Amino acid sequence: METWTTFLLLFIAFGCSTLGGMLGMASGLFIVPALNLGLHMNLHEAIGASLVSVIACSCASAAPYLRGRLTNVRLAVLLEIGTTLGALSGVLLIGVVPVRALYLLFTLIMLLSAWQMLARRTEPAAPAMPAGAAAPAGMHASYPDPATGRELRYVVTRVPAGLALMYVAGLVSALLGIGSGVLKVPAMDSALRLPIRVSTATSNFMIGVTACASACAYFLRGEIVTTVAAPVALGSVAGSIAGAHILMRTPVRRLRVFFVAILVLVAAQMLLHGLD
Amino acid sequence: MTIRPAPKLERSLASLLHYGTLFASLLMAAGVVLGAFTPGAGAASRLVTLGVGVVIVLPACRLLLMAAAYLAARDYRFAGIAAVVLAIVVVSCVVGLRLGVAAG
Repeated sequence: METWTTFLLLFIAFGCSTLGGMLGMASGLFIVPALNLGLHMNLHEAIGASLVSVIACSCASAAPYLRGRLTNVRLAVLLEIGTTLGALSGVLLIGVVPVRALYLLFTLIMLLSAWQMLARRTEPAAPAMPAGAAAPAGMHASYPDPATGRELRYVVTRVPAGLALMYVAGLVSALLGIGSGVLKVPAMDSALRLPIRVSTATSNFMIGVTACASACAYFLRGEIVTTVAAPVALGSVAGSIAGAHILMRTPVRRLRVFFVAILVLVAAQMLLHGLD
Repeated sequence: MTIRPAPKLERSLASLLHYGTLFASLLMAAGVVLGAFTPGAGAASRLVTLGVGVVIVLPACRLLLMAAAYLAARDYRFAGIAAVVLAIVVVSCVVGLRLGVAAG
């Protein structure tokens, strides 16, 4: 690998991840098209490199959420049964699914993300009755409200539906090399009804293990080009830190419109590739 | 009002993931820099591969830590759940290896 390519990869990953971090999104959705369409890298190579950066970003950002007690660790590990089974299915399918179908699936996920970004996410209504029998013991929890420091209690509902949605998220993650946050949001909001801050932290925590299940398999087969994956992971981690800082200072509304435009543009490019 | 500190498991997990990522990043950065100055050096590519390997293994270590912590706390249900997730990850590796390289 030539030196300038390495620095180009670092720079691109940094840019994608800053962009994603600014809106609290994972960077995989931008990294795969950047490597594939921008640098004409093989789609499977781009997916492998992206998976490594997805794990790195998940692990790098987990600590503050854990220390702030926003991550529901028990719920996360339970839902990971769904996401890792999905990832296992993805590993089984990746060699069989035609590349063309992967492009189309990618387009679909990008458009879904654009739509989700336009539709404001609202705090799900707290379930009226603590459904004690529905969730295994020890899953209901509380988290500190950052403004007042008061403990806010919440309960977890409809875990089976959540698990099923997580299976799909894990499958898509393994096939496309992304964190699948876009598919976890409906699971967290409509099935489990978690407070947004808790679901963001918990979903981010799960992404690492989900991507690990598929990345391990690809790595052992020698399908992850480490000279590509390393600079991409380094750039992503740096970018996600930078993006989180910018998030606090930029007017979010204008940013959303800008993002939706980029997403639709890249989705169109991926679609054209898929139909080619 | 003071905010209650996170329980021990959460703090251990935070440290594992924080320092693990830092360690992996240092390995990868060292490899990338070394590779830039001495192209084609075996040491540089070994460092990079090791760093990427540490990143990939880190979530599995996190599962191991959780399983051990729940086991120590005699919370057998969640120790079992963590073990099941870890087992799925291992199965995924084995299956992936058996299947061979993906098309394309």
